[in-house]
Amino acid sequence: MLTEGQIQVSDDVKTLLDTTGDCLRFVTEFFEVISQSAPHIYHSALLLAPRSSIVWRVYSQQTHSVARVITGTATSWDSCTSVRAVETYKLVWSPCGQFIAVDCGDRIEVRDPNTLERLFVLQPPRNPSRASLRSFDFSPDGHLLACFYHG
Amino acid sequence: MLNSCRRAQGAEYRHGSRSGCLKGTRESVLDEIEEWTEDFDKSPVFWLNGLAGTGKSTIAQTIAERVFANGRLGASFFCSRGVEDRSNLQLIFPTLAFQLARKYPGFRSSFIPLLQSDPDVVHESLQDQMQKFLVEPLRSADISTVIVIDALDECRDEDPESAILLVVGQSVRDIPGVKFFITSRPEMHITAGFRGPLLREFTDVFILHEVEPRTVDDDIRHFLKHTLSQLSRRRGCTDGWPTNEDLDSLCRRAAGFFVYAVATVKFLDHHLQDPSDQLATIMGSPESTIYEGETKLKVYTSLDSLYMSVFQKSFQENKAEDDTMVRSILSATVLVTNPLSLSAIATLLGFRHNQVRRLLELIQSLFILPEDPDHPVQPFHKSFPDFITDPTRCRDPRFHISPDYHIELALHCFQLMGKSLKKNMCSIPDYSLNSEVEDLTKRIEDSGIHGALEYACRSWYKHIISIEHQATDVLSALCDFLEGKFIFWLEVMSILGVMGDAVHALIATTKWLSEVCSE
Repeated sequence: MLTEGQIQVSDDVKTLLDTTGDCLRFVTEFFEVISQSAPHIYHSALLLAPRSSIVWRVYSQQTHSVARVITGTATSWDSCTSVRAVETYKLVWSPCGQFIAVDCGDRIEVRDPNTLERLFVLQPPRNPSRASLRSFDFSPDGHLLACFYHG
Repeated sequence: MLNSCRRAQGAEYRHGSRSGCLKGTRESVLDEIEEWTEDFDKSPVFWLNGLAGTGKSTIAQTIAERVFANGRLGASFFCSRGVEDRSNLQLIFPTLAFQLARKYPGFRSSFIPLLQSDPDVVHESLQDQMQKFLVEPLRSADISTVIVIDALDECRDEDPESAILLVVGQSVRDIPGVKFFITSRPEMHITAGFRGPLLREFTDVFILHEVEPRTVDDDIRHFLKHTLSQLSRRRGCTDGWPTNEDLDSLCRRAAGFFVYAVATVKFLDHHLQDPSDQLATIMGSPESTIYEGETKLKVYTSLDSLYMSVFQKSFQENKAEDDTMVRSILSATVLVTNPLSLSAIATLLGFRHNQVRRLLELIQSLFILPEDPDHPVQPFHKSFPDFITDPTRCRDPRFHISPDYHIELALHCFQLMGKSLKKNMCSIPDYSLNSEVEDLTKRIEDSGIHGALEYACRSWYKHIISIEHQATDVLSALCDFLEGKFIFWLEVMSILGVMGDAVHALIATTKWLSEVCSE
């Protein structure tokens, strides 16, 4: 009996993990539009969610839009999590996957890869003021960022 | 422009309900610190190191008031573990810079352009915050000032060496006119910070728990005598109460901890009880709780015994179901990530206001309990949550708050969201941007997204990730939430402007599910 109970629970956990993961995909995919406009959850985000996604299955009744998608909706989440535009010369991922460091020319920004929220901004050294960034990378544990300046 | 600077609210010395030292107490330590603030040949940093309950914050408050009175206080930051912004390291320097800019026109004129070109100061690294927003404006305006940081140990900081101290250490030489007065418990990472090569030779240290016991006892006695004679007059007690023997016994019980004296006075001053009966209760309890096994916290025994007396006296006629209610309400004051008001506690837990008020009034000596039911309720001192969440100190299971209460709080968050969240709660017009809705703040308020509901939306996952084992009830509540209220919750997070938190909530929950529940 005990074993059966455990199997039951772990199945539930698996389903929950799928649902949570799907919700997360929904938020990251439509992060910008939802951040700027709450009603767009119903006007566009839901409408454009893949038809096989859990969020669509559960909440499709809530769409509320003058526009209608006739064709072209994805059937499942793209293997690419999301497309984001950020001006950069170079970008590195932390090995833990929690951060990206972006060379923005006059500074390095550490951002959240899911939302692109800026977490830290690192200014170049002041002395000498013309030092130029050659290279930067995360430590294997993702706790430190090493930057190599020349000049 | 200055007001756009993101900062921690309520962190300044003049906010909150702290009072300074009673005149005639703590004189030698106060004199030493005051002398240090005036003497620029002395170290630029002063560390007041003391165990919990030795009176650090009261001394910091007094110093801030005195330095303010002679016009030399630049800024102050009183950290607080129970308040999110006031335990956030990233907010310390911006908050200090904001206050400096308000006080010194010279600072303001170089600070405002910086803020205009880079409004995102909170996300800069601590080094850059310090250098750009404090050191450079302070230098260019040639300001000499005192900065007070109280209870640094209450900030969330996982570095082995305090990150704030590291940055202060790197900068003190560049700003010779600025003095930092810092208080904290002697925690490892803070001690390491002050003993590190950057700060060691620039810091004066005063260890509060090593002051000669006689001096502290005299101060505590003076404090008790003064406040209790006031209380006696106000409450019409008999002449000669309390007796000298009573005072001696209370001093022995305090054992150098001022917090004991303060808690005692609050306990005796209970408005429904006679002060001399209350005193008899204290005298009737053992001078220290008896410990079995580990006794590393022996220093707090009298305090623990006082806290226990408060509970036992207040709830002596409780039935078991009342005890359950007591624990629920206590957990909503000590396990929450931001302090809740009385009405928010009632709404979140599903009790009536007067039930919560009646219960908190019974143990009012342990809380700062505001008249206004919408103002936050907070423990009167940090040693109280420390006590009640530690089973080796709070040995009566009727009052101990175990981490399992996070389960109950998470469930209450889900229940409240389940009941309250619905589509388009703020009646935002179709297709509009949040920023286009002029009266958004009023709409948020009118729709009930404040207090308990705002707390539930922003904090449910913080309780979930504090649960240390798989909890079936929580899993099914989480499932109902995701499949019933998820998009309405997103709406609230969007309107409150905290969508980043929504992402973190889902990531943290996923991590918790796979770590705790899949074992």
